[in-house]
Parts: sequence; C-alpha cells; structure tokens
Amino acid sequence: MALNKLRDPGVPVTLQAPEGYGKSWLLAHLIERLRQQDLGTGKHTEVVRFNVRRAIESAPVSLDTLLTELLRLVLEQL
Amino acid sequence: MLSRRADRLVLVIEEGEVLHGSLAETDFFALLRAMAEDTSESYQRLRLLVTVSAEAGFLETTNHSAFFGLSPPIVVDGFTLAQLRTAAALYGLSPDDPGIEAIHRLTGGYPHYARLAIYEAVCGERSLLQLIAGVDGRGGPFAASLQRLRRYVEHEELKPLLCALLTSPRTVLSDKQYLKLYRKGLVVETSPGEYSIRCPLFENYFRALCR
Repeated sequence: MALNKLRDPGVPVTLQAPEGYGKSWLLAHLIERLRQQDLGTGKHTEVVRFNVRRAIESAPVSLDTLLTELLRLVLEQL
Repeated sequence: MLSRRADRLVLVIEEGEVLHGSLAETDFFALLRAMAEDTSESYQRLRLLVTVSAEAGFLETTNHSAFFGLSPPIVVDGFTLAQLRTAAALYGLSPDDPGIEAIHRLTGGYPHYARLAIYEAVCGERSLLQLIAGVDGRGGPFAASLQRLRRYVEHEELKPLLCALLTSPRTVLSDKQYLKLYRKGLVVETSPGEYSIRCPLFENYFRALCR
C-alpha cells in the first residue's frame, strides 16, 4: 500500500505505530523496494531522511531550527 | 533540490510526533501539506513519507494544517500468529512449535518482544515454552526492556494512570497522557474513552508494580 501511495504526487504516506513495531525496518524495506523499482524502470529516486527528534535535541523547537536542520541534512545526503 | 537529476525525491520525516504540542508543529505540518499539494512541475517529483509513534488522529486534533488528513495513515500492526510462525522459522525454529502461540498470546504479537523471545530462546538453546516459564515478576528474558518501560512510566509520572487503567478501563486520560502511553506501546484505545493495556506481558508486569 505504501509503495502504491508513493507512486503518485500529492499523497503523503504516514506510517503509524508505537515504538518497537518495526517502522524503521519497514522504512528501510520501502527504500530498498524503491531502489529495485528504479533498476527496473531506469529512473532515479533520491531519498532524504530527516529525524525530528535528533534535529531538535540540541535546540529549542522553532520552525527556523527545524528548517535549518532539514536543509543541513538535505545538503549532507544529496 | 527538486531540480536535480532525480526523477523522484522521497523526503522521509521520522518521529514526527515529537513536534506535538510545540510551537513549530502547526507551521511545520502546514508546510509539508503545502509541499504535498503544490502542483508545479518540480513538486510533482516530491514524495513525503512520515513516521509517527502516535495515533495520527490525536495529532490532528490540535493541528490546523490537517496534514494527516490528506491520506489515512498506514497503521503498522503487530505480528499475526502466521507472521510469527514465519519469523520463528527464519530463526531456525519449527513453525509448528507450540511455544509460538504462547509467545503470541503473551506479547500480543508486539514485534520487539516477540522477536526478542525467539532470539533469546534460540541463543539460549531453550524452547519457547521453557523461555516463557522463566517469565517471573521482573519479566525474565524481557526484564531489561520492561525496566526501560518502567523507568519511562515513572519519569513521565504515568504510573498512577497505568495502575488506574488496570482496574478501570474508562479511566480518563488527556490526549497528551494517552499519546505518551501509546508511543511506548503500553496502552491502546479499544473504544472511545476506553483503554486497555496492550498485552498480558505488560499487564502482568505493571500489575505487580502497582500492588
């Protein structure tokens, strides 16, 4: 289902579960499946991961903080 | 970043619930919603994937951006019995092992605890039933994980609530309290305003703690 939703723009995918339910595992699996799709189609998918907890652990939460941290991660990962 | 060579950019936002109640929450999710709904060519290549350890509906009640209303969340459930049999087989156990059903009952299929049980049984060269027999008041093979949960409950001052829930499922919880309990997988809302401890493993452990 998540893969189908990621096919089209405009529809964000939210994975909901308590800690220890395998969201990170599922995320890694989805990213791997996207890479496999790319191999089959010759397209290229970039993935940027942004962990909100890590982003705000050293600074007060503000939109500026979040976006600055997001930009830093994007630049690091791309 | 969207103008680069990628045909598709997946932006993954992990632990989105951490923003709940913060000053940035509304603006941040409003921004995400605006990005998702932007129909310009560059944004058509953007995909958003958000993970939350909270029921999205509870986040939405105080979030005017209604980001989580754009698409129903995909709820990751615990292992079914069949899935647990498959997992056990991957660890070299027989899928017909009678202990699998017992582990499923005890953990409610909670992936972390069910997998931990299988792993401990395999590494300790014990059967799953022997492993379960070792679950004492402190949790036996689950003790370390349960102690971490207990420390969290005490740190967040949730123990009185948890103890009250053990005797009365209709104990009143604020959204914030429920989200804290849900995040750690402790409590689930079974019907509006009615809650239960997620699995017998937690119930037994916290019942002993509340005595």
